[in-house]
Amino acid sequence: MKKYNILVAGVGGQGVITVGRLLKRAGLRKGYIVVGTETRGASQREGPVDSAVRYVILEDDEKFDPRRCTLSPIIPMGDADMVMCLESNEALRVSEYISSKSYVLINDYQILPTRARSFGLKMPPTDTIANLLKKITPNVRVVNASAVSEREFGDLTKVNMIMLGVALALGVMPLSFEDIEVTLREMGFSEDNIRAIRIGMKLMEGEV
Amino acid sequence: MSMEEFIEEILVDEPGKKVILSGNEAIVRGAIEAGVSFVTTYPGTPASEIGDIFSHICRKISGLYFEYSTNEIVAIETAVGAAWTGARALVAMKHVGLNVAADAFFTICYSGPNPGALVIAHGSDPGCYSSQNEQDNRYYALHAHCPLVQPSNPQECKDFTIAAFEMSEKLDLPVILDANMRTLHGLGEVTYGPINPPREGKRFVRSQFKYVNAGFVALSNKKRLLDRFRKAEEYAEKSDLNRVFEGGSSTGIITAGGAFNYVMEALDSLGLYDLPVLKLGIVHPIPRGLIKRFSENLERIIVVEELEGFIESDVKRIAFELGLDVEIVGKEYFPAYGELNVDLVVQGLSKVLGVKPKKNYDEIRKLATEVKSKYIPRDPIFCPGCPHRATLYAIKKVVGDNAIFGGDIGCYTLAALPPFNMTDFVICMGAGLSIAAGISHIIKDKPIIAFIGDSTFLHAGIPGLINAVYNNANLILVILDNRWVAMTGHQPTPATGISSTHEPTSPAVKLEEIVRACGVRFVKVFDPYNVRSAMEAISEALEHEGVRVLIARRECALQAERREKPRRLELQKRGIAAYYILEPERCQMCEECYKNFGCPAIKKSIIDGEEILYIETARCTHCDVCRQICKSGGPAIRKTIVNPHLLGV
Repeated sequence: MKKYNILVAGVGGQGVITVGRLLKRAGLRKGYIVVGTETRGASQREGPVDSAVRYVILEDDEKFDPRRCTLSPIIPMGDADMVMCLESNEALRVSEYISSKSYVLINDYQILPTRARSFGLKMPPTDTIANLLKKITPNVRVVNASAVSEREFGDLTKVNMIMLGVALALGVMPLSFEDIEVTLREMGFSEDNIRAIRIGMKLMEGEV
Repeated sequence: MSMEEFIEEILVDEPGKKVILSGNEAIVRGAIEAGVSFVTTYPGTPASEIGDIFSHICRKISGLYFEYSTNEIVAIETAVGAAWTGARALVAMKHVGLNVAADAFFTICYSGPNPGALVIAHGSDPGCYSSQNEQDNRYYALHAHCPLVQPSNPQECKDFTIAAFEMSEKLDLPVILDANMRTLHGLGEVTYGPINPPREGKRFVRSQFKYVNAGFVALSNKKRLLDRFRKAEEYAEKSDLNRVFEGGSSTGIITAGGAFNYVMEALDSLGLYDLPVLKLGIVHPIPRGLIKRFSENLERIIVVEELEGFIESDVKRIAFELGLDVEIVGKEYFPAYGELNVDLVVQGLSKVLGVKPKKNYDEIRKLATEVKSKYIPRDPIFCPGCPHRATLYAIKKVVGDNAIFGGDIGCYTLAALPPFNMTDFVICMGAGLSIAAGISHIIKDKPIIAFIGDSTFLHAGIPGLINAVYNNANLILVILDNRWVAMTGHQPTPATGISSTHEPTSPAVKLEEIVRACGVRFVKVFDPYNVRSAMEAISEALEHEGVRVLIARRECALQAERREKPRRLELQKRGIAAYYILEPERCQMCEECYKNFGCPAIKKSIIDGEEILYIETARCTHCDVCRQICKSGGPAIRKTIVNPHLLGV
């Protein structure tokens, strides 16, 4: 039996919930036990948003054991295997879920909180944030998903899918591109989303 | 998935089908499988979606009635009325909604819901994610002698809803289904059961000894209530909603609801698989026989539960009454505030058991704290184009900080945050007005201004307004009328002009007519998008005495945008576009629009080494307020239209 935890973090309106739901459905299709939660109280009001996706993956001959397979919908501290941050300041917020084994993808994009406007606070740039997180895990990557989404699609709506493409290309998630593709089609997503995931995967391969 | 596809999926009669649902969605499915025929609600996070889904599906099921009620007590009274004709009725609300419903709730327990059934589905909010408190409503169940069940995942949300209807009908008691935010917003796999046709109400049979709670009837109903509750205890003894996970250790755990998941994962994380675990599904009444059997070979019981030590007290009482020789611990190891999680449970359990957690929590926390110290907290803010922002801005321009501001529950609670800081207290729905009235009887040298939303006004504001007028309070009430219950997902109100099931109707009430009927002489309606007229209305109100009401009327920008944006995009395809632009060469960087108005569509960037402000066109809703308030002569902000000739005449 294996557990796998994905945390998507960002700001309301960035598509955090959408990519979380996609991952939950894709896991269910694979026959995983899927649990998760969303923190979305302020999702439409530029508040912080999270989606936690947790899989229990049983071996072929393994039976469901409630003592080992019951999951909290919230990821325990340090247990996130994959963290996708669609906004870089939000990566700092979720640091307690990250351990030395986690993979962290940070979109090079910032949305200034109003508090920063009112009090003239400066956000650390994305690179500084990435370096801070490297104190916890070496597996931190900055992705220019917003710039790519803007260039390829004319707006920022595909950032979540591009980030997912990068995560898939890392080859550490228990999901393949095909798993996601089939699920996206089932959920009635447009072809642009699939194209965005492919672009993300290429982005990753280009960097390696 | 579109709403249509979702409705199809949640209504499909395919027993054994597995789907992924949230707790709220699973409660809806459970109620449908149980043959619910009557649903009422007042929306409140985390339980709003229950009513919202019913508002969309009720037309698909013949014999199913749904309404958005004006508040929770109205909702529960309406629901029990249906139950008394034989219907299976569901009322959904958030935990604090039960405070509003409490007056009716206690006595409904006296009468009982038979011949029908009444399930109160309610969402609690440990951690106060979207509430003014985290009260533990299990004490309502205790106080009112009302059975209460706590599911721990979406599958149980469905199954427990069905069980709750059966219990309610059999015991002639309402049943509370109490789920926390994580369970209701959490997602998990649910296996469908068969759908039963709605059990509709048929006739009301007069029975004064059951329904007329006055004098000796009330007293005899109280006695009947105690008898029914004893039956509930017997029922709970046999219920399979309570489950025991066997183990050989001399320490056992009792838990319930969301805490069960944390316990199981914490035990797994500690590598402890032999502690017996009793998971209570029915948390009130706790079955004594089961507690006795569970504790037989135990030296110690650890009670792990979210919020207060409710189960803990009850188990201690039962242990005392039965003379059980077992140590019982609980809240001294697990916090009674905020939500629990696996890590808190691991740390609590390891302290009780004297074992070491596998994780080095100190180190994780130290590193995370260091990294997190660079995080700038992200307050939720008013959306671009939000009329509340414009109203608050205009008020601040006129009165400055020299006023006392009464806040209330809704999007406009955000007035408390920068850049406005225009809320001095928040208690509960409707409280802002009456607290302001109280203050106005003492404080005479400052304007006293209370805010209330349109839905909150209809929910809890009217008695307070009548009282303020009758007793000569001296204040300005600003009704922020954005036509919807915006904070909880845009449910309609009686003043919206949309029925509970989304059909256009004429508005049932007009706010200004209600206000006048309450005795208010000074009533002014203004459009917050017109800054000058808003400021004039506020100035005029300040010149008067007594209770003055200003109605700031403008539809929620999110709702307006849902209609307007597709139209704009369509025009864009034809090459016609309208934009608001901010011209850097004319802008004097006073930052009035950016800092003091604080519209999130206005942003800052650095071009050629110089700071500039710009408007993010994709987020701008064309509300025009920033143009009106622009201080740079000239004006630096204007609306521009590309290819207007293509529009024709």
